[in-house]
Amino acid sequence: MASGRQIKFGPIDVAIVGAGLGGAAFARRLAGRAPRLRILCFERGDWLDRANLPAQQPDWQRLSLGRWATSPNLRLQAGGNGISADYPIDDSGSDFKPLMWNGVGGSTINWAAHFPRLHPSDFKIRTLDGVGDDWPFSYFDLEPYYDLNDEAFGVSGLAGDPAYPPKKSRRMPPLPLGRLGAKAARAFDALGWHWWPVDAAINTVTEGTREACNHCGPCQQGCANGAKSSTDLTYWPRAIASGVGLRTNCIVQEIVVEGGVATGIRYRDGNGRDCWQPASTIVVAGNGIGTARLLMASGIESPALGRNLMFHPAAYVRGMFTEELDGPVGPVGCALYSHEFYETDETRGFKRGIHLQVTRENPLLVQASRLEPAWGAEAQRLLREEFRHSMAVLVMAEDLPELHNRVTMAREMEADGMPGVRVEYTLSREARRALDFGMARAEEMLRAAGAHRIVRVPLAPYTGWHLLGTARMGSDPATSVTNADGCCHAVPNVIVADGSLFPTAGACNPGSTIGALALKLADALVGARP
Amino acid sequence: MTRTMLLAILDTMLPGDEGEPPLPPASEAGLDLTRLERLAEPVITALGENDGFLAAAAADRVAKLRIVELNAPVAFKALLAEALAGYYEAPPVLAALGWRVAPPQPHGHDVAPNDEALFRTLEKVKSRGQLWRA
Repeated sequence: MASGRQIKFGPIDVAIVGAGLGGAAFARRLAGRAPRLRILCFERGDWLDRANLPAQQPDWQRLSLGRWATSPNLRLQAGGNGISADYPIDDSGSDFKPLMWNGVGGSTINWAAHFPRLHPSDFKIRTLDGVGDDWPFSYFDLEPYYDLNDEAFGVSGLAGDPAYPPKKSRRMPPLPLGRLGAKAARAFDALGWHWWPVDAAINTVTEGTREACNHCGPCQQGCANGAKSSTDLTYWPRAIASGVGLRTNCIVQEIVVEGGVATGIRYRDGNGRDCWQPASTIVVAGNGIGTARLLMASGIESPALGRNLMFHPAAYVRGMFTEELDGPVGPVGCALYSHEFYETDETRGFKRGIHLQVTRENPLLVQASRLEPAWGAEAQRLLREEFRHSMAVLVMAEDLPELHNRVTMAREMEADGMPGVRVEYTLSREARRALDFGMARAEEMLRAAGAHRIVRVPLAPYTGWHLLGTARMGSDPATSVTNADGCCHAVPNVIVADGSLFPTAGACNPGSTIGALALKLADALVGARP
Repeated sequence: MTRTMLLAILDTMLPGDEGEPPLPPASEAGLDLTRLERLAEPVITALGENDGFLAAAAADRVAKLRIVELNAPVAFKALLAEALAGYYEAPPVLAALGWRVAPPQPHGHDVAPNDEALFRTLEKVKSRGQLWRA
């Protein structure tokens, strides 16, 4: 409840919490649809300064493991980032460690910008495969918004992939596969398996002030030349030009609810002042952890809130080659993927499927830091064998929603003035089988490509980018937090607009779907159609 | 004694090799030793026998450090992480691995353009028809 010591602002129509992918897409779409609405976004972090990113620094590798690590916990351990306003996450009970960015752009700042859509089957796995749940709408309901979101991000790629319904031609040609990708493509071709160059939200031609990618490598520490799309470069400039306000360094601590209706937000601004912002509608887009944390801290109740956390379990298989490959050159999330095993085939011993993605290598220091043994002459022999001679295949599986995988609150308060947060996640036996199957297929491909040695990483903890499912959509308030329009069953003028909404996760990266979904929800708020 | 011990420990962790060109041992890679010295103190304490370590053959030094790695894992890990970071940022090491010293930007890296012949093999993928379910 607002107190007398607060700074009080005049009422607005829509307050958006979080300037990441969901919040930015929602803001831009809503402002375009309803220009008279007073819309303000509150972001806990700050704008990125592209003139001072690690890629321009001599110690860029060290920074990528410290203040610019992908894990907020690692950034905090290194003394904090200053732009990403991180909060600690107790992930000791989770097989995967949450990764994110807490500034303008959200995790699009340090994502790899691999930009696939979900498959149509991903929206109806209960109907098709008897597991999980169906989404409250279909791929084809979302398809126009996928197209709009593609247009906003500017996708490089190649149309015609038969793993998907036909997509519009990609605005830019695909990123170069490089030696590594070309070798993998030939192996997939020899095996008769599906492969396709990735859709990437990365410029391959210069557009305006955003240059074409120059293959520098460390996408996950921010893109220095702006080739990689992030919402601080895409949605936000347009949203602000449309009249949306964006207040940075503002930590929203509570959605105030009176009589089942949200009346506004209480937040701490960059000067540490307690502020009160009344609003008719509150939109929450703080990712699958931050959103659940804020809703719980605000006393918004639902049996499903915080539960059904999905991460996309991930494993890696690396092949070592005699000939020189690219190493840490080029966008890390590229070059190509295979959806040969994406759809369910029950003869494999599990339902649902896997995504295989041939990726670039990590920086030298990261490669050196993951060796086993970690030091000594043998470690250096392995590194010399591996560096610029390895090909990594990411195996990503679909994890089904499970109640025990969840986000919970701690009793202790954190420095940001909110209760601490804990993540509990255990890899299921079904997902384990899927990963094992995927690793075997990845090894098969790598052998076909000529790898002379294979290293398997059966579980890759620091892949927890995809924070999904903790405020899921549905029609039943007993099993879902929101309806199909993202409105909370318990407090209908609170709308969730991020990956928390996913009833199920598919087996590929969710960014494209999060953006499309946020656009759809903004239309729903004003009763518009695509 | 601390610096002598530090260099001996670093060379045990990162002895270099005789490749072409050779990787230098850590003591010759130009690492900033100031921070490493502080991190090395608990490791040296855990070793407990400076003269013995310095007099030991390379294989015995490895064995002694393995024991410290087991008994003082936090201190050992912190020292190793800093040693790895300094070493694999060091210009002589980058050069020995055929990697450039300059940071990734502003110059980026060259990657060969896509091979059109390879992309024509995607026609085989397309010819399989619809692979998605609805």
